[in-house]
Amino acid sequence: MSEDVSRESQDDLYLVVRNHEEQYSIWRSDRPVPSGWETVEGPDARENCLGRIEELWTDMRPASLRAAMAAAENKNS
Amino acid sequence: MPSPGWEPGALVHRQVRERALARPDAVALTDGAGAQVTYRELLRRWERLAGALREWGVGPEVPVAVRLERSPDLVVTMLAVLAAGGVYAPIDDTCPEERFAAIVTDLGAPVLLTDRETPRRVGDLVARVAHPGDAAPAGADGPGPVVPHPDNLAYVMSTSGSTGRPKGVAMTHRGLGRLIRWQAADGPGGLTTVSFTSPGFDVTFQEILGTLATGGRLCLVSEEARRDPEQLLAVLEKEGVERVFLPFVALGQLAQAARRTGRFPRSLRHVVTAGEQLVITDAVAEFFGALPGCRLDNHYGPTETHLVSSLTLGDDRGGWPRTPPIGRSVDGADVLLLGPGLTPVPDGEPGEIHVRGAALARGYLGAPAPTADRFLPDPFADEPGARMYRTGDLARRDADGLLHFLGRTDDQLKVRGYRVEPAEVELALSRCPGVREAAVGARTLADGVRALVAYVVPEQGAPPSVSVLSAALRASLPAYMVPARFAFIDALPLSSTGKADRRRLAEVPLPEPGDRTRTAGDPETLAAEVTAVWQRVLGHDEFERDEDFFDVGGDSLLAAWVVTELSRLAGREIELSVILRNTTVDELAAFLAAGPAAPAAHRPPSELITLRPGSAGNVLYLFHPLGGELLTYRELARRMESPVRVLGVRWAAGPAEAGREPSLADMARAHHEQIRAVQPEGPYLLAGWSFGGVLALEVATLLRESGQQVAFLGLIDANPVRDPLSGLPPAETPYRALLGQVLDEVDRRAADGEESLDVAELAADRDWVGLMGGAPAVGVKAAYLRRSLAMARQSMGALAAHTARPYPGDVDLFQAGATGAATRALLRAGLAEVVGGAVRVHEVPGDHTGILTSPHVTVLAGAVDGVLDDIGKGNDSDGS
Repeated sequence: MSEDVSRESQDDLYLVVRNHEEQYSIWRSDRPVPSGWETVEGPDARENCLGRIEELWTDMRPASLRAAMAAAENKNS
Repeated sequence: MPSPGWEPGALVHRQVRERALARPDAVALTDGAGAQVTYRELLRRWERLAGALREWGVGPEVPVAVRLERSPDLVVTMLAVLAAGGVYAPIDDTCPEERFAAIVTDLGAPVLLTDRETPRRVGDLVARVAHPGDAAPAGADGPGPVVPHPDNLAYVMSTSGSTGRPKGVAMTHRGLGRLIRWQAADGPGGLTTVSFTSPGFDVTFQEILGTLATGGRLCLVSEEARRDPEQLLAVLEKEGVERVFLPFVALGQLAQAARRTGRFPRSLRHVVTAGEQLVITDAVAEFFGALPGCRLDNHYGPTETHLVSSLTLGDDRGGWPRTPPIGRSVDGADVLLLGPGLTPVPDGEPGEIHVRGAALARGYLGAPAPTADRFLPDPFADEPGARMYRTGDLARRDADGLLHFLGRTDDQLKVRGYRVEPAEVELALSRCPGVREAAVGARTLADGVRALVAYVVPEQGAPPSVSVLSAALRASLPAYMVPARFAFIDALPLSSTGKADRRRLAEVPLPEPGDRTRTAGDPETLAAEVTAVWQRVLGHDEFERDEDFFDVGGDSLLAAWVVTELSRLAGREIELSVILRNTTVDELAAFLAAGPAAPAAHRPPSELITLRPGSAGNVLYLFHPLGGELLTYRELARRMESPVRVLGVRWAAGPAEAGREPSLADMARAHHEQIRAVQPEGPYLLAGWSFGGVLALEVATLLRESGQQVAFLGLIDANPVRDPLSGLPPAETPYRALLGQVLDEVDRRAADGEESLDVAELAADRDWVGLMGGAPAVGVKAAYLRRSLAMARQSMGALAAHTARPYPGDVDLFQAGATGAATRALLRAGLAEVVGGAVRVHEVPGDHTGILTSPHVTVLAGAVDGVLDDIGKGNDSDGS
């Protein structure tokens, strides 16, 4: 088998989704978006969605970690 | 910082610290050479380095690039980076410079900790390059300690990436913590564990941190022992090792070595295998049959989650399945088997493994799109917004709830436990000159070894040679990604989707290293047999028949072993020097096919061997040390970059009968005659290590006496009037008596019918091993050892009786920096008594033997190059 073609085809459309930790992922647009995730963009081709994520997801630390680190920083300064 | 279900005590380095405070005098680390480090010392060293790292700007989310051999320094560094709150980022040892630079660039690490010289273009990418031992104690006004958040990164591991660039898997303290916590709860703690895994492999955390967090002893093994299963067996027995983590291939080799030697390491209690499908071969079954107290675990987990599932094989050893399942998921790693449409598959049906829980990495460092592509929303989660990792691995769950591994959903390959994305190798291949198109797959070769295979469509005209392709790939990829076989085809077969059809590629016939239908004794059959020996000795089959043994991982120790095996094969004694003159499989096969050499009537006792080809007009002669052989110079010759041909000068006659031993002057005369026969006119370039340096000095005197010019005389930790180890006059050293005792012991055992000797045992007193220029391999024939020991003793006698004559020229002394300052001064003063000209001293790190081996030999080679380059420039200006 090559490139799990059995499951996904080039024509499938995807959504750019994001969770409460501001982590991004992609999700097939014909399936219900799992709880805790919101649609940011799409539907669009898979490659386009991944390209958008490359632009949008600039800090890969989870949001709660970013907050905790900022709080620790403030306490120290 | 609040985080549910988490406390700072769960940080792994904190657990190790608690152990260190509870039992400071317990031994934390030992190395094969007898050195040991207590927990107190380990703690002191890692806290000092952690303090320095903090001062160098390391803290949460800041990666530290690490390129170290398996050593106490590596362990200190791993703990120090974690304790400094930073991100431990090991880089594979075999990584070529280009890839090394790419990884360091992607990491954006401010600090590189390494024990070797760093190429300038890599050094320029980081603010600081340091040796872990260089750290000064942190100042009081430094940034101070830090407690990382559980979601801060603990480490980054590079894996093969399908885009042609390695991907860095970024793992958190939470993920690492749950792994070590599970490991500690899974079996008895405090086990003596071998550190076998390459530092670039994530199993290294289970070995190192899993052992130290439960107060066990970590036993570091040499690269030689890693590659030579017989040596590894000896280490397991000698060190009383209780636990070992091995990829399946290494376990298979260990089991075969145990079967071959009849030695089973009784102390073993726990063997863990991971990295690829475990196969219970006959040898593996026999191994565990002989060790009823030893448990075997099969682990599964990709780097993105680390350990996912585990299986302990049952007590019914006869009933072990040939390909055991990968077991049940472990704490913190929940397995979902999903089919098309991300729907769970029923038991028994194949599905793709998706993993969720604390095990998940944060993602790929600095790579949002690849992360989003593999770390997906978990539609089955109780906790909203949770992610799951899509592994690309297929498995089924049986009625007992055990997972069985079934293969990949994509092209990713596993070779010797390493993950390889064929696209990455294909991209590198397509950049090689003469390659139009290429595809890469994995094939099981004869004898069951699974290896990478390249299918190459050459440009029209001249197809590239296998050795050129292989060398080009080795310059850009780690060794494990370089294909073992190259098949040249006219066009790539394509599937309906326009991609390379891998099923049809898998049917392309491969060039085999040997055709087994030939009769015994012809070069083809012999080449196959030599290939099998190399595979056994090197531990891999990634070489071609026309490749140099020393280019594919061979070294002097392994060369001695190959020769021992070839002697066995040929049924006659084969000299060690044979592999220096015949460095490829084809050459060795041709040598064996030629049959025993007719004894020459007057074979000269001095013999020259090319250690490195080069311009014939510029020859550096390296004189043999005590044992008369030259293997010890192989590394030096290879590391040198000067445009010289390096010839080794060897004592071919071996030890003489009692009463007929040649004096040192006799030996020098024979060598002088031989060198003049090859190169009648100077200027001459001469050097030698230890005893070889004294010979070089004597030959230099003879050359000058006959009106010749000596442009370079290099004494590599050599001294004509004092022993370079002890500083004593040669006649007063205890080594001659020591060699006599070892010889007596060898003779006694040979008389008892021991054909192969356990050198590890004989080498318990390592002084004589140093004198020989390194330990002979395990299983070396008694006859070899006897010969080289007898030669060494004879040489030592000749040295003790020798009086060096005054030498009016200049000398370059390359002195071992690890020798004590007082002894070094004594040695220089001794040299000044003999040398009338200038003595230029070049200090080289390492001890007497160490300067000739990695990593110090690079420094030595650079120093010799430097002097030779200056001489070359002098000659040029004379000529113009």
